[in-house]
Amino acid sequence: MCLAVPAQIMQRLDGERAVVDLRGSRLEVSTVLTPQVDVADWVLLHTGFAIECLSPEAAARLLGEQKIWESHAFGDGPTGHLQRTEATS
Amino acid sequence: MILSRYQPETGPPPPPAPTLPDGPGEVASGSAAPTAEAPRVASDDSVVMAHGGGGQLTDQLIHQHILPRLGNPTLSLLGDSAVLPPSFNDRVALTIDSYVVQPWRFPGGDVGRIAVCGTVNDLSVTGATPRGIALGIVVSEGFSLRDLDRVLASVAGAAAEADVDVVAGDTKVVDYHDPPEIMLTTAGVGYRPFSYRPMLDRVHPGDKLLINGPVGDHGLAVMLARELPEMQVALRSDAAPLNHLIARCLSRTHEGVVFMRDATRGGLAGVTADIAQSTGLHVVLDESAIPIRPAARHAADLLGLDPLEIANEGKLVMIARPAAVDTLLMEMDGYGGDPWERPRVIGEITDIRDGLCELITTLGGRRILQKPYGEELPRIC
Amino acid sequence: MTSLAQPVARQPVIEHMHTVAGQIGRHVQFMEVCGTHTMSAFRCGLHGLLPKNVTLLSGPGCPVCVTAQGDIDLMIDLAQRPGVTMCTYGDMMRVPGSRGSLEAARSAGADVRVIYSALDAVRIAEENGDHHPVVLAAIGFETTAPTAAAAVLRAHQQGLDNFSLLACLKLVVPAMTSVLTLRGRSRRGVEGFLCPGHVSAIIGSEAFRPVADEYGVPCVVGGFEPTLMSQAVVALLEQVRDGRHDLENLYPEVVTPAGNRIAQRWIDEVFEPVVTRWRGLGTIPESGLAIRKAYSGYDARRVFELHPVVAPEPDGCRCGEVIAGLVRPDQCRLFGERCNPTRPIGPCMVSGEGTCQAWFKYGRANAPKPSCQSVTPPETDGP
Repeated sequence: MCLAVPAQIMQRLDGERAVVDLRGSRLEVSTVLTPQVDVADWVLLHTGFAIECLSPEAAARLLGEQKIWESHAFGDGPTGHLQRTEATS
Repeated sequence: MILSRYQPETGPPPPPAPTLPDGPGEVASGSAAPTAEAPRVASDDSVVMAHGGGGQLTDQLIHQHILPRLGNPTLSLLGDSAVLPPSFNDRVALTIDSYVVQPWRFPGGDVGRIAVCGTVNDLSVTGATPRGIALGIVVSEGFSLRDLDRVLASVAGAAAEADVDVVAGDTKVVDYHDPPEIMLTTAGVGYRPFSYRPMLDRVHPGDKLLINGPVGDHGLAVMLARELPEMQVALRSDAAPLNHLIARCLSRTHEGVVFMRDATRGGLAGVTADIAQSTGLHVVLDESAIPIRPAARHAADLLGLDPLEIANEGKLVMIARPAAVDTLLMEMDGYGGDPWERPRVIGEITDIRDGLCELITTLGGRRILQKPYGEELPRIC
Repeated sequence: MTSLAQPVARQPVIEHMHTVAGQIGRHVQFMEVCGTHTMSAFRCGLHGLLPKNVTLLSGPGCPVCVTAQGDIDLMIDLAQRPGVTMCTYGDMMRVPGSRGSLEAARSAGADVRVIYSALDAVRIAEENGDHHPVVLAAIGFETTAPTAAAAVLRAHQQGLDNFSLLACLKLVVPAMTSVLTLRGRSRRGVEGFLCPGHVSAIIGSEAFRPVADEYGVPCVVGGFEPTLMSQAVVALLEQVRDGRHDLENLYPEVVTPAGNRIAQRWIDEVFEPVVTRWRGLGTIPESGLAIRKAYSGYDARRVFELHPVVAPEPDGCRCGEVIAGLVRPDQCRLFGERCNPTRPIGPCMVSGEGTCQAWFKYGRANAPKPSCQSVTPPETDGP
């Protein structure tokens, strides 16, 4: 229904705008819906708007869910035998 | 060497233009009325119609912009065609592709780089060694000459990386200004040893699918540059020539390399679905083994796209015999520090004969991978 | 040699799901009310992992899909008016109207722009100057509504006369209760809702309280990653097993009980709830958002004197019933051969998160044996 991703505020700008970090990419977004945010805060980003604030722990958990995938890319997923085949054949 | 002007199909019959540097054949197809136009004032810094007109300005373009960047003994002859050395024991491989990426410059590359890499890779995955590239440039009037130089420098850089010359070329100028402002077409010729045949009919159940690095970077970098031009994009296009990597693999084991394809448009999903369909065998991929950078996954989430369906310009999908996998992974691993760039086994061919490609997801579920249905638009929901 | 063709060990959350489903011992049916959930479920192969007695239906959660045919026609007609710049999200471009789509209108010369953010449309209006009207086709639910409100208020602040908004915004909770009413006539009802995570971020989890309390249907707010979504299904199963109908929030990272009050105020400032027509669900009171009188200068319906159009849906298209969870996509006779992502007839085949496209791309019943359990076809439950 609505795509949204976690992002971290890097810089506050005039006119209720801010620069956010998206895993290394930087984008200027509107903070009119979350005027309370400050640098280093985490937000949920939807169509160029920070629509909600996230606690650092919440953001870490959300990104942590993604990290499960990432760690799989380096080790054993549910079907980790592929990489074992690599090691033994 | 063909450097003539763009001639509209409805244009008047061309008058002879004896001062053209090109051969007589080009005179016939060459100039139409607008050659008579005086070069525009802007011609010092941007492309005008006359740059494609086959006259002095064309000469200037060739000698001041093209040859300094792409020149080599064959191209510099400016002959009507490039003549390459013979290769009696090999088969000739020939390929052509056009590149109309929008925007023409994106993080990690530009249209010049992918035009060379794409054609080099198309030759290389068939087992051929690239020997020469012919480059066609169609550029809009008003395109800045400095940017044209940048594109040519990218062509030169990628060609040097691939160790292949641009041996023939052609430039046309068109007078429409909607994007794309510049389009490149590259044709490539290569030689393939007579004995080598990486073909799909050699694919057997039990063979493994290998990939040489993370997927999605190129298409997402381009899409972010197009859809969110104000964004500072951390992703970089992966555009790279794969010929050296493939040559290393083939030099170790001809027999072990069963089939190769570069995962360009349609992404990894497109290639693997194609392999399954063409062989009639069931291909299984392990999602947890497919490398996708965090930045790429984040960008795909932002735009609502599937990284497996995103185009790459430097990713090789190789089907290998199980016994050769270790050797091949070692030969593919040429990138040093970045763990994401490590080659990996991502799937295998099974003995089920249904012609489908299946993905085992990180949740342990299964889904069928299909070719994407053409261009995906970014979504909000 | 181990082979990927062999069954894969179940993740703990899936294992738990099977245990709880076994304890229930009868068929249960849930509905996810969010297109992103639909997409996520298909992408991670969740349907194939569900216990045999559990079905997960897709509800009216794709904004493109629920937009009435008449509204789509209005957008296309407006885009074709000389001088008008129509801004829309990529989702909307290829949705077929009665005649053509926005994409087709664009290739025929209409000025249609794909935007990422509602504020992009305001920026285009600023750049265009006074005599050049710019219209934002605002689709979406409560997540997108405050951004549309922000666009109107920004245009108001700037004193822009050439910006207007064609509001096709919808509210989730009325749609959910409407589904319950519709399905009340069918053999088996929806026994639980997987509530939309990002809409809930705005409206708060408590917004679903009436559904749980008054309609007696379990509601679980869930996240989108495969494990989070699986956990939400488990929570729904546990409620059914224990005979509860509670509101649970399993996405506290993002969703608070009250939601984002500032965003709610913005919506309320610019919009008022009105009766709205939905594809598939018909006309539902207080289920859409219209621009308030105070901002009527930005209401494209008033500026361009547009009258509500009730257009018939494409011949033979059953998107409406699919949205209401009454039929499966493959029960539509257009599905596949005549209606597919390359040549869509109904909106559910256009949108990336439309149920039909998800079925076509990820869930066709031609799943291989023996490895794939295939998408468990939701039990036929037609009227």
